[in-house]
Amino acid sequence: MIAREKTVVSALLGLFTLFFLFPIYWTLTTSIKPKGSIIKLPPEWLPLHFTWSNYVEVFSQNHIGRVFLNSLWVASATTAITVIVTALGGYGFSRFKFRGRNLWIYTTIIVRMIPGLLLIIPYYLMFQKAGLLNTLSGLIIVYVTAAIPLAIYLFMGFYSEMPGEVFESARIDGCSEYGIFGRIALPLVVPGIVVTSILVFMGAWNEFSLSLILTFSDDKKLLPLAISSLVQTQKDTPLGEIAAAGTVAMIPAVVLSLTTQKYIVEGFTAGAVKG
Amino acid sequence: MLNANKGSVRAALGLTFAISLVLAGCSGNDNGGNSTTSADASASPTADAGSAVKVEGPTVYGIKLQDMDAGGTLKGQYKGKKIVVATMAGDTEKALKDAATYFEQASGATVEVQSFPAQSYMEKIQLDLQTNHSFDSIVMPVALIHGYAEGGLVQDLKPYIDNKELVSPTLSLDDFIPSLLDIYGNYKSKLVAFPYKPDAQIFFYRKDLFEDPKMKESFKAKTGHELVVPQTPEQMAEAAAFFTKSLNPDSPVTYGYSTMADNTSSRWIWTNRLAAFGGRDVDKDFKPAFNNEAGLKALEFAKDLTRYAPKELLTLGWDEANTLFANGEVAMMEQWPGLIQTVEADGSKVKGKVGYGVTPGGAPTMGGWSIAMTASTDNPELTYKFLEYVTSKDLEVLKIQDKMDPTRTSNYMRPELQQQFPMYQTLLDSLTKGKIMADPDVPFISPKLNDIMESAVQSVLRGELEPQKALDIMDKSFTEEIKGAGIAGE
Repeated sequence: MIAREKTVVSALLGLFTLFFLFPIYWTLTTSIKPKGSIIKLPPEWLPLHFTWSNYVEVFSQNHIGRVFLNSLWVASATTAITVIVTALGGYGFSRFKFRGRNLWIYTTIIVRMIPGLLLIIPYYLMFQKAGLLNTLSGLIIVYVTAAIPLAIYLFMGFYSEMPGEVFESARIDGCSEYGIFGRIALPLVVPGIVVTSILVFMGAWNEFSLSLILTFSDDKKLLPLAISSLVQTQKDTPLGEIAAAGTVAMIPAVVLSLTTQKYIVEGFTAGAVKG
Repeated sequence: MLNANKGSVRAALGLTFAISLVLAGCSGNDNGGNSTTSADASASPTADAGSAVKVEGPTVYGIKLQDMDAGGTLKGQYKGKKIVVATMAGDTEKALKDAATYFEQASGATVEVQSFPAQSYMEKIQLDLQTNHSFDSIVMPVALIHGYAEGGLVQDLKPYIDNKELVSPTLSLDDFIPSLLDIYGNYKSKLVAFPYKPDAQIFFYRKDLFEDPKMKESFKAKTGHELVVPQTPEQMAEAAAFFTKSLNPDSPVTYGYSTMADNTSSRWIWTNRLAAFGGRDVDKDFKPAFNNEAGLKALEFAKDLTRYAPKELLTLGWDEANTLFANGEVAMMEQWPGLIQTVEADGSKVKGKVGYGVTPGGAPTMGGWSIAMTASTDNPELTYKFLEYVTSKDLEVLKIQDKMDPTRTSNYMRPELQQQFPMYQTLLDSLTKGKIMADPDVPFISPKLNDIMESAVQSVLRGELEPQKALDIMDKSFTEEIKGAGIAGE
């Protein structure tokens, strides 16, 4: 019975793995197929011909390298600022009782519930006045603002999972509040930092609508915008180039998931779920 | 306690430093939509600003481009100035950038081409036109340009053309295909744009089948008529029936007719015949002009064509419809000129087997893009010169490399181009005969009217609505929308 269950579970897991990995496989193989092999019936499940031309095209004509660096910079800066601010903010909300605490917590969470599209025009007009249109720093400000509520909420969950006795002991041993935060709380919340960083990073990495409205020139384009720009009306969809650009765009997600797997599991099984 | 204070100060300083480093680091070269770009010129000017500038023109399709300084009117006199041109990302963007390289050398000015994705460039450009005013010129579909003209967002070019000091001696407005200059450029007695990218529905057919003696013989036996490339709707329907396998098992292809007819493009099956039968979408006073015999006949014909088309016709977009044709499953197809690139590509089963002509009925639906000058530009003369430059006879040849067909008759007459682009004669004929635009030329509400047409035409093609009932619904909705928008004719 147990063996049969194991077989069923393994089969289901195999099916799910196939289901989730196939689009990635198809993107990768499409990116190295010549144009004539991409739309073919029956499809070429294994690429019979091989070419780098799609990559050459997106790097030389569409400047995907520069766009990648823009996205990397914006997403990294957004993540760094958000994590620094919210690791502190979440700690404050979680560990301290102060007047208006609940009001601020709910206010922060309510901000998260406002659909981002509603904010586009106000952002546009404000940034126009502030000279922040068509700047990567403007995008970082917007992304940080959008990410802070979720990140604070996550950090509150992570911190609240920590036993209060640990903090009490540190306090009795003479540790200051900042010392407790830096020496006790932060090391314990590393899985939470990793999970929050990944969520914030990927949020900024994949964002489209705001970057479309708030940036103009080629040298400020981010990846979702640049990939979207590959599609034209009344022209065959350049599936090879899109797959090549998509493969490049997948790199951070792959690197992050491979290098931080341990923390992700810890993080998701800790405060993130229970928060 | 002291340590704790020091720690807190360090933490605060560290945080401040990190944030300022990030913001400072990423704000380099940021200047709110006005950053400068330097073109990588492939040829360099041979004189400084103020004196004559010699810009070496490239040789394109065997044609040595001569007029690279707008008839001698560009002498580097705009040095230090800059304009921003906005358009959709892709071929239009590339064509503008290619021309801008030479314009920068000749004028001394800097041109920044800003492009936005196909799905959202309209919203983005309109938002900027109404608020930020960072664009000097826009290249967009004709109906949108006319909407901006109605709203005062783009300006009349006539005063610049009338300025003898400014205008190029090689401008030659008469050289533009007359229907293009009229439909694309003119709006309420003003010339609000120059034609930039022409477009017309083309009739593609399987030349190998129509020229096959066996097919001709079989067609004659079945119909009593000669198999000819259809020029009338009746000929088209007869040929479509003959080549539809479900109606004629001997047909070498599955479908007699196809096109893209998803819910953004099905209306063109109707409009391709509407003008042919004497109707229009709207008249000069923005009143519906299709709820008549011509409209009914055209819609009934469109419904009739679905009998010879794939069952999934109403889901076919650009890629799907073209793939069906390129896979050799369809005998005839109405499509925009870009289909030729698909059918002549490696891997196409119909490569070298496709002919083209004006859509049966002789009044194809027209698309097209124009280039206009915004009302808010700070550099109107420079912007005008750019418009004039990129639409000039020689520079039009340059943009053919980026799949932008010419808008000037003289370019269609060049033997070099006729030889390399055999479809050009058909395109010229189609552009000359076209009367109805792909998007109704009604300011502000053109997309809404598209939706109304699509909904009604799709209902008819799906068999859910009788053609006359659909026309009544369209008529009523058009009238309400146009009245609601407060738009009046000249």
